[in-house]
Amino acid sequence: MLELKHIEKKYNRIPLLVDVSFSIEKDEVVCILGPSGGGKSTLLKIIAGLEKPASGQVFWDGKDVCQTPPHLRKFGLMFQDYALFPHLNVFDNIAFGLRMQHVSEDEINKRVDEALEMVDLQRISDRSVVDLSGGEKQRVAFARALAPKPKLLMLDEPMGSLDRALRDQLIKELHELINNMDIPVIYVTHDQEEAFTIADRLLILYEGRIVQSGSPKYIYTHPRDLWVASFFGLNNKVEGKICSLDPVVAETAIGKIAFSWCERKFLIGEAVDLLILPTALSMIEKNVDDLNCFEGYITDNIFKGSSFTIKVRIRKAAEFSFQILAQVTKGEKIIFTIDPESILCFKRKK
Amino acid sequence: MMGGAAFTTIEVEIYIQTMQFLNLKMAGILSLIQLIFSMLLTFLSLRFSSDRNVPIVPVIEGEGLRKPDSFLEKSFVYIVSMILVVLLVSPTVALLLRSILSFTKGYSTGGVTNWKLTLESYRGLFINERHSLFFVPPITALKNSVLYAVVSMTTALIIGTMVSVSSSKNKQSNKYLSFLVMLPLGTSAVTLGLGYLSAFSSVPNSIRWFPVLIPMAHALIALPFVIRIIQPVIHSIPNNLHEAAVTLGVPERQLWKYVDLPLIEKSLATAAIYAFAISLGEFGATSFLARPEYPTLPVAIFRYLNLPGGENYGKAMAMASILLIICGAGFFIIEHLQIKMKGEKQ
Repeated sequence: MLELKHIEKKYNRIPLLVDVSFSIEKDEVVCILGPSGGGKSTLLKIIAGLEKPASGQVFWDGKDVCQTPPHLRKFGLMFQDYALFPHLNVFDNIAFGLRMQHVSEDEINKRVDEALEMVDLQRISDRSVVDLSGGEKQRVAFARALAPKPKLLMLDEPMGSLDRALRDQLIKELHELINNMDIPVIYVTHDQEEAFTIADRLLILYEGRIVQSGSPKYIYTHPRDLWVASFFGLNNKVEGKICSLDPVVAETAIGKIAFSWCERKFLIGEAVDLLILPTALSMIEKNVDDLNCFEGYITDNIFKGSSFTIKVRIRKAAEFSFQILAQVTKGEKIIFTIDPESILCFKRKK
Repeated sequence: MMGGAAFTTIEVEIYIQTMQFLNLKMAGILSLIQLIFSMLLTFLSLRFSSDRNVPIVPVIEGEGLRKPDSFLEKSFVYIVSMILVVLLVSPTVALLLRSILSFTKGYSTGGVTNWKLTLESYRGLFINERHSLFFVPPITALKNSVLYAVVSMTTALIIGTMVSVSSSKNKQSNKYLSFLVMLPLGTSAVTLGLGYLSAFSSVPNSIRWFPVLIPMAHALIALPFVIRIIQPVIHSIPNNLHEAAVTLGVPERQLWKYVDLPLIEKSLATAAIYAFAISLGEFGATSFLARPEYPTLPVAIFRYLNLPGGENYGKAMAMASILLIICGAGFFIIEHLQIKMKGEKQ
């Protein structure tokens, strides 16, 4: 349905978007994930027609829409700070797009009521948007973007200005609402949890380029490089050298680590970076093997509700973070194994 | 009238040199001195106010207000209120009272001053006792004033809005425009009137056109106020409101109608009433340009004040009271308009 081809954009001669190409199918929810200032919002504005690309094309159903003015594209866009019209109440904000389409007043009333019901805001339809809470504003903005029945819905960091608790609650609601729609959705965020909850497919945007694309699970477990991995919060990094090829084992400062995720062949003596996933740790009673079996001391223990995040120091060489279910105490010595399937290996860059 | 010759300001001196001594050369030099100072102050004001603007957002009425708690706070509020009453309310009340009070003193009263409540001063405004050719009834002066005020208000609003919009598009032009439109604020109305007089007096039959110049001068005087009211509101409209409107189907050329105008309409109304009130009360420039048969309310007040006798003084007070009531009504409307949505500038 939507297809972008070789989109380029520069600001003050600095490249902001470089050769961005991707397409979205009907009903697909694509999440553009990347650090702030990486060009995500600009990309949405280019699709919406609010900004012109330096080069490249935007196609909708095979037709180039670059010359179509934004008000005729019928792409809904929900802004990070909602951009609600302060002079209009909730009802009139949602009705705004319908009035621009010259829909009859009866039809407007019906569709606004439906939109209000969808976001559960019927009780405040006549309230000024200035008086609304952050969560209510977010819902009004969502309903306003959806009411004119856009062909494509784009959401630009819709949870960006909400606190954590409200975000957790609303993200579930938003997930449900988006799943019930039959239009493609582009969701922009820098928050991986939001992206994982919402997306059918992730596009990782870094320094203006789409560096990886795939399902959330695939990208999380198979990040393309160290940057993508660290963006997902995978920071348990240890340097090593390949010392065996069958099984693949790397010699590191904390001991020998075997790993099974090998998409490429390594050479003996090759310098690599290993990333250990936070879920890789399993505690055991006693040391049983040289490979992937370690002793360490708990240096921190943070309660996270359903699990604990612990920090373990191994051989005074490095400190790693893991998520575990069992409670441990600070300073306690533990023996544990690391799952070879939860270790990512990257060739070290010079 | 207040303070005597020792306390004459440069503005008064320009007026005296022009209107009483016809010394246009001296008036011109004084105007130039005033202009240089006002340019310097305008430049400094713009430099120190810098580019930092507090964004204007609609707020709930009374938000951020609280009652004074401590003795110190209560005393402060009380003292400020008293100062305001003395400085603002008392002259207004005195003016209104004097317009409805008549004083008599003489042999018939045994040298004792008596007073009575009367509308004589108001009635007197309609009587041409000396059969003067230049007698103008108050309704005519009021009509002149209102006509000038409407034209000057419209002119100031159109120019002010255009300047505000163009300055919001271009930061560089904003800098120069701000300097230019602030100038009339520092320059006195008298200087402005003198400027118009000098510029147009050499044009043949210019005196015929002076009534046309009055609303132009008034618009120029009101312009800094109009811009200072409208500009911050226009500048504070976030661009994403325009973007949201466009994605919802508003063509770019109609953004002004659907987004900007509804957001600034209250400021426009406020600016309009300010411009209207400024024009109604303006005397400095008008005194240079008003023809005797087309006086405004302030000019008519001045004429009565220059005539001898308590009756004429009473008429001046009555005329001033009419002006006061009209201006007061205007500002009442401003307050009424600002009840729901308030914007604070800078």
